[in-house]
Amino acid sequence: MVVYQQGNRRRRSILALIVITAVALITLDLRESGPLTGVRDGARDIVEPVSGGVEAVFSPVGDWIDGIVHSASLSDENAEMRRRLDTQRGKLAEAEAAIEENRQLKAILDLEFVEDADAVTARVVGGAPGNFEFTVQIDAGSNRGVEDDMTVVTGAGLVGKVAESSGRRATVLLLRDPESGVRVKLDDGTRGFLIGRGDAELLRLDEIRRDVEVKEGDLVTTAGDAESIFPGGVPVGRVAQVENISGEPQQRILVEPIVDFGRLDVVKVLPAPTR
Amino acid sequence: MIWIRRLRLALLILAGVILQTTLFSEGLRVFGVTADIGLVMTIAVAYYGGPELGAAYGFLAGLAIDSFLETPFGLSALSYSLVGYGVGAIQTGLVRSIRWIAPILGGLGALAGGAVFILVGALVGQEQLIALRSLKVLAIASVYDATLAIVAFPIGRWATRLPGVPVRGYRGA
Repeated sequence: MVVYQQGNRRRRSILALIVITAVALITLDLRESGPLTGVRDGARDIVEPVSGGVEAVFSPVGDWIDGIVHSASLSDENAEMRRRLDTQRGKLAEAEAAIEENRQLKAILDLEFVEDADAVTARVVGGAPGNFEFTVQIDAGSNRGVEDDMTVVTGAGLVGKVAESSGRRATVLLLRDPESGVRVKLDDGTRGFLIGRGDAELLRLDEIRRDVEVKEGDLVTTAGDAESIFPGGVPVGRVAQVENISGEPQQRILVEPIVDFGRLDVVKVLPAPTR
Repeated sequence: MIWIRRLRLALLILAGVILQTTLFSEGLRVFGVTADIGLVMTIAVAYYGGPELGAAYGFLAGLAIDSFLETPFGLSALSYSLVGYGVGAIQTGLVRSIRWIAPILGGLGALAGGAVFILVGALVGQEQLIALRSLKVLAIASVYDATLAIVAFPIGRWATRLPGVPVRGYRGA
């Protein structure tokens, strides 16, 4: 009986020790303690070479399973894509003229993100390991000059920011993550704050007063304010829904992101803006 | 010979992290939800190894996966170790083997682990975890983890066994 009680006490002591250690680690991490960042980077660097090999071997298997899981939606998607292709062919000539105009406008507006010589091109090599965050892994890390808080874009627009960079990998926090936020501006220069909504397709635009005229289709770009980590003028999305609720000082605005977060392949990591 | 068991358990943690960050982070998602390999293996190890080993393995496996998550470092370690301890304690109290114990414990353990992760996460500032989506994730992940537990339990049995010591707990998938 005494031995049994001693065993129970020992177990509880071990559990208490583990819980206290875990809580201490959480607290240290919330205070952004340096050693923990080193531990994280070290763990990523150890696993990275093996992960690369596993990915190369198993990615066809993953794609195959993904294809089976989504086979029904794929046939519908094919039909939709054919229809879109026909439409797009018709718009090609119009687009070519727009490209030239766009090139000139970029030069005027100094949208350096598109052709920045210091930008790092990287490939998306994985998604989020967990269920409660919206991130992707890219195959460029501190070895290629990628650092925390750098802006990540595609040719279309803003993807998110580098949340964590290790030796040869970096984690990109997508704009759709509820922890993501970016100061943006509308066509007329009105500033707002865009927040991710997780699984939801549309992003939420806050801080737009009722008296500001906002139309569906309006372009939303990064504001590039002094306190923002993002450079200005990067396209983010287009206004999809505008709702004015009586009694509320702000409008309820939802924005459709320009970037398709489900189909990211090649991205560019931009250096911190110089101001 | 206990070092062989420690080596097996360390390899199991490494394999779990690699699978979680590669195959399960992208291709093997079900309705956008991935399985929690580390948690499932913790449940299996705890069932055969008891509460102390379950808690210790869960803590280390949780720390390993926390290195790859953006949520606070130590959050998975806390939830895994609590589940590991709980499963080990339940196993100690079981008089005889139950046929569907692997998926039952896999599913319930995933629910408990996910709930701890969300609640403690919200307490330390991850308010976005308190959302309707989290309930959907918990429900799907628990079914997914319950299914994986059928495969994980024999692996857990292999990893925790000691030469000359009879294996306790669950005796077959």
